[in-house]
Amino acid sequence: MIEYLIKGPLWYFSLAVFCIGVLWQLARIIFAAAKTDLSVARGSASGGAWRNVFSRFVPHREIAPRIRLQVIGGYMFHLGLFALLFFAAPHVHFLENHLLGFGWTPMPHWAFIVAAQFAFFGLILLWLRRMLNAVSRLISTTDDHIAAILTFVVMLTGCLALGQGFHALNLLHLFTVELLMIYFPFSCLMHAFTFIPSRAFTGAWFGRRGIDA
Amino acid sequence: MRVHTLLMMVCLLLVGFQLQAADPPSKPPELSSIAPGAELWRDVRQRDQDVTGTTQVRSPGADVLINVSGQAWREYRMQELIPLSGAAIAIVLFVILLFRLVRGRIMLENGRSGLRILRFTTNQRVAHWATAILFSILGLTGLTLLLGRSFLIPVFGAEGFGTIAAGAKFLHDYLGPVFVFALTWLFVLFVRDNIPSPKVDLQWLLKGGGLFGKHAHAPRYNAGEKLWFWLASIVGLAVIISGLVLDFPIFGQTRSTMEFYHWVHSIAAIVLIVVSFGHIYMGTAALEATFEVMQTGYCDSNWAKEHHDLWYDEVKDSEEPVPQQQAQPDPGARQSTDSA
Repeated sequence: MIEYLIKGPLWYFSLAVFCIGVLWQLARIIFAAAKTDLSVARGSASGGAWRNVFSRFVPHREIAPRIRLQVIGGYMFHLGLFALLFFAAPHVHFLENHLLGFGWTPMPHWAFIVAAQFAFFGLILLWLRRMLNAVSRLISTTDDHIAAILTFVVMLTGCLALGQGFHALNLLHLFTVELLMIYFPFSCLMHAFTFIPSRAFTGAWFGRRGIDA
Repeated sequence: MRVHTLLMMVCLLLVGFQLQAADPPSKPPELSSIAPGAELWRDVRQRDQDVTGTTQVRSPGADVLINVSGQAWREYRMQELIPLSGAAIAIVLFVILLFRLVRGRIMLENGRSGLRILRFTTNQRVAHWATAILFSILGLTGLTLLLGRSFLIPVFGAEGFGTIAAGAKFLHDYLGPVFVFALTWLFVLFVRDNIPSPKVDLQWLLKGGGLFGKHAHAPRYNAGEKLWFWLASIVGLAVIISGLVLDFPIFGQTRSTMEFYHWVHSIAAIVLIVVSFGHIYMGTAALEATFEVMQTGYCDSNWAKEHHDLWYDEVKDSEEPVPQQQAQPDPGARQSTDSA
């Protein structure tokens, strides 16, 4: 019964919530009524957009020493998670068999281990920094904590699910993934889709006004 | 007709007699030719030596049919290692309980001052808690694998325990290497102030850390904290090395190598776990105003005077005590550059 629920109705429900929710949120941003900028352009908006998208991958020199932990932890976690999500063999097979109908070459096992270490250590560092830094703690919301804990739980159950012979552990991982997919569109996790448009929008605004930031 | 028959019988008898004379009778066959595998199966049954054969499989120990040391290791693990580990944990917990009953919660003699001093930067606290979180997960999963059979099978049944143990093993295997990063980072951040000061540390130890009588002088870290630091670093290194050998059995490790490192890993981890109970108790419930130091980074100035008076004398001039209720800038923001 539980297996049927997790693999059947709950899976399709969470998939629908995720897809519709993400599209709805993106549409809201794209079609948000923006005021027409009537000022004379002092520079290229598109140039500013492209520059901002890429320049923000590296922190400003002035603040780099103070946010070294966030930068290192952030890159460790996001690169590790990206590699695990799209190139771990079980995920590639799952995407091929259940969603896309085609697959690609998964990463070797040693790379899987390295990616898992990066993702776990990075997420722990980021969450602890959020909890232990007075300013970060002050500006953090409940949503931030739920998102971090839910992601950590999904990664933990992902480790458990590596025991392919134990069906209950696989179901547990799938269940936590479904919870994350339902939560995703309504949380700060949407930054996975919005960080590029957000940078581009800000960069275009700067570029048009000739601001070099 | 009868004559012919009689002659034939005589001829056959003569031929038979000649054949017997030419071919003397052989001995009855040996028992081994009847059961050619008897020697092999006798070795298998007795298990007093490794039985080796030939195989196309190219891996260490692949030609060993029965690994005798494996049975000895299994018996040692079941009959000595597991009971002794359980006893060590129980004894340490009992000693902590006894200490609590005798000494109670140790309060600040002069109460809180309302002033505070920066003791740990954000980076130091992040490193400490990252190590603590990983240590807790690895400790729990490790104890599940070592002692879980005794405690969890009665609760969850054999099949349930099988699932839990499999999950614990994967979690332990994949989170283990992360512990290497955490412990190394912790060591780098804390080693400078944990270098032993023989005279002061010895006096502190002789006075029992001041727990049962006269005040014991202490620098930034007292001798007890230094002992824990070096124990965690050295025994932690043993846990890490043995854990990596067990985690990646792809470098030609033999069974006896794995058994040896399994033994090292278990013993070292149990030592770390039981001593960590003392560290956790002293850092949380034993002393007033101690837990908040690793939580917020600041300590009450009276706490510093009572527990680390030599350090207090050093920092009271350079660090300005600030009101406890006043919002403070983040300590990591000021010192992160020299500690990251």
